[in-house]
Amino acid sequence: MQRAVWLRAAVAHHGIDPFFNVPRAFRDGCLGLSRFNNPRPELVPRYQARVLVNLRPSVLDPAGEATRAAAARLGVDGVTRLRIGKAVELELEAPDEAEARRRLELLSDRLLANPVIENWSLELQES
Amino acid sequence: MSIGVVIFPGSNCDRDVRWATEGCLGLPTRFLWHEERDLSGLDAVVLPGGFSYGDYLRCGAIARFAPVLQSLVDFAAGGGRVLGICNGFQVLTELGLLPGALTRNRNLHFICEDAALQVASSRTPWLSDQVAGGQITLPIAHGEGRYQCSDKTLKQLQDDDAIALRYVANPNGSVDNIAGITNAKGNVLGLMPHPERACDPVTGGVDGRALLKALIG
Repeated sequence: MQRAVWLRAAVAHHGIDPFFNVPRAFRDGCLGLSRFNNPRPELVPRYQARVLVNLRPSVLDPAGEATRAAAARLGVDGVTRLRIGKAVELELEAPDEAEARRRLELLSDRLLANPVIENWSLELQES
Repeated sequence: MSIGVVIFPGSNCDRDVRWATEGCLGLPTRFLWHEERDLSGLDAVVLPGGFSYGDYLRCGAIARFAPVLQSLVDFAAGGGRVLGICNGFQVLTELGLLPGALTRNRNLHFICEDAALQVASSRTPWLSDQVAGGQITLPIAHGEGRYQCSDKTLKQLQDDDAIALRYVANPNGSVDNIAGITNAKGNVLGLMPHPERACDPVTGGVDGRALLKALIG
């Protein structure tokens, strides 16, 4: 610890780096940054997720209706229903899939969708 | 005796509200930055109109997590008066202080015009000087003002006499012509029309004055 303080003081005072040309891992170890001393950092599983948010069927979707009308004007017939929602793509780190799912469900329910007017569904896979 | 007007990034009616309360009505008013938590000394808090956080995700969805609103929940629970105007109304529904949600106008237009409103209830201090069934005129200016709620919530609002204002000619498709609602206790009011734009005679009407006076007293 004392050594780390001395080193920082030296750097600040002389504007030089006494560990110039010293391997990075060694230098960081000397500076007492324990996270660089960990020889095998724990691998946290990463997940990819997509949350689809849609208006509840009972809620009017005027933007969807306008788009459906435009489809007919384009000459595409037979579109009987068109609803616009949104897709939110996420990546997250979590200890396991159950925990990833728990976090994403909380996020979807409390932030990404408003349950008063919207439904949501979740797609989740480990990346 | 003082009014706080919250400023979120993207609020744009904050100074209009202050002009109305302080300039037109002489009520002491101060601004509250969205990161403030201290609401002591305030009798009322106004959430002004605008586009808080760019309306990202949904109108009011991100503003809900502002530190000032965490304090506002306790403030409202303690009986402090809270007025949400336009975007402020959207924030109050996202925050859960008022039920329902505000969605895209039926005709997809941003509607900016004077709206005739029927006083649906004069139960709360906000409209206590009005007669239920009477009319006032306030400007509206919104793209997402269609009030939406479940049948159960609507029944609850009716049972609580919590529908404050209704549109005479529904401009946006709101359920039951709703323009503004209160909580059951009556200390929280949210409405899409802008009372602060109807306080100075030069802007064409003063029907908003009584409503803003109710912030204090």
